[in-house]
Amino acid sequence: MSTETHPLTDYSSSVATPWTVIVHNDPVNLVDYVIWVFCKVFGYDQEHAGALTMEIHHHQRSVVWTGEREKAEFFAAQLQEFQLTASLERQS
Amino acid sequence: MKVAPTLNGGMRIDAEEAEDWEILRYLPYDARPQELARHLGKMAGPEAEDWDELVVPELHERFNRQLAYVYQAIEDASNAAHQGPGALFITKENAELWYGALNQARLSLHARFELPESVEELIDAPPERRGAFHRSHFYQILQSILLDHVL
Repeated sequence: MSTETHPLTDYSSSVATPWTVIVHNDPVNLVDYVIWVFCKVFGYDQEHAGALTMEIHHHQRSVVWTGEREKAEFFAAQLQEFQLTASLERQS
Repeated sequence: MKVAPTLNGGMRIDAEEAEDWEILRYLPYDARPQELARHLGKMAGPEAEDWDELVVPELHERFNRQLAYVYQAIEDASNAAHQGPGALFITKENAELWYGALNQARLSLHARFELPESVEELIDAPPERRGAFHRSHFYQILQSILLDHVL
């Protein structure tokens, strides 16, 4: 009886789930300030930052950044330092 | 009180009488840095791990720094003016500290007094709530000048 061994190879792999940074509407932060913060934190241009700010204004929230978890946490904390209501969510 | 941008990219607040300094002195007391840090921490969501331990204390410290700076700037300027007519200068370098302190005060006043959009809705409101509305409006004017001319 032979006792050959067959190595098992697991070819499965996983792709890291992206994380999103969300900014929520509030009645206090001024539109121009929110635009200024997005330009400063993310380096967005005025047009993109303005579009995100308007989305927050009209839809109460906007996904302002998507990517790996560590960076998402960093950006969410930065936005909170500027007193914006920011949250983290794993993208479904 | 008069507020205006300066030629070197900053802003000045001219107090014309002792009452103006009293109005400015409300600013650090209207803010609630610890409550704001906790509130923002809660809003980070259930997937924000270790937020209470790592981020909230940093926020609290940063917000306290803003208020301590503004408190001292107001005290120094009012003492230099002997509580009478005098000017308080906000440089471009310190504009973020000022904006942050003003924002803290407005966020706190709105949360505590549920301030409406317009003053007409405050006709029968108690004096504390009306006072909070007017201070928040004043802080907003300062913020707008900082945004338009300094930041």
